[in-house]
Amino acid sequence: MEGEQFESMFDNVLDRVSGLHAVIVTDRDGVIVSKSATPQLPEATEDPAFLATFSLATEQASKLGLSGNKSAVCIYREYQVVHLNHSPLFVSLIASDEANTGLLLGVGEELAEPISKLSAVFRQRTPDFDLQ
Amino acid sequence: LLYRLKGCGCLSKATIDQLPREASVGRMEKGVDGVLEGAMSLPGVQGALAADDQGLCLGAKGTAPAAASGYIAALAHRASQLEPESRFSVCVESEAMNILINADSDATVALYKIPA
Repeated sequence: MEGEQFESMFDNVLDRVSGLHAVIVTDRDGVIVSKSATPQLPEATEDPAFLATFSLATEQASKLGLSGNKSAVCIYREYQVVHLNHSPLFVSLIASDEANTGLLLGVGEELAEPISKLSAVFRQRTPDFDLQ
Repeated sequence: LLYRLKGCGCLSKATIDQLPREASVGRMEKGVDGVLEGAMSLPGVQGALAADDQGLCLGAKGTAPAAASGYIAALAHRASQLEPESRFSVCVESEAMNILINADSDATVALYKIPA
């Protein structure tokens, strides 16, 4: 799947889910691989330091004795972020606090297959960066 | 939750009164579980699901997949926008199953029923 096809797929997701501001795919260091966003996206969420926090958190969460961590939902005062682990890639769905969290998780499941294919390519090229 | 089951159109008040009620402080999950279990005993009902206002699954029984809670809540939300501040029910019909959805500001209930 080409990069433009990913962005087109993410744009479709943005249209479908009310309150969703952005779909961002990053690597372990928070570097953006692919992104689709609305103008409502807060600038701070595009910072690699913010996006990389989940890769650290999921690595630690996977050590809690419940096998690998798949996802995390973070609720803030005005926003919510659904993080998905497809190591070596990570997907962040950034939405308003009033958005449908269950729907975001469902959409995350829908994105699992195409993202997994992209992750497989990354894994081949960077075999050391894999948290799974 | 019981009111939402009635709103699905397949329960009378008399039937609802017969459903088990186990809600009490400290056993919230058993209360939801009991109501869904009671719904499962109704004729034709293959599955029952309850979701909160954020689309997260409160409970699912039978053929109702827990993963559908977000989609069901989203359907109910979209339907409510057609006619704000009015009560409504949504019925999704297919050859194999009818899904009856009823919601208010707090919770959404869906029943998976075999088509008559």
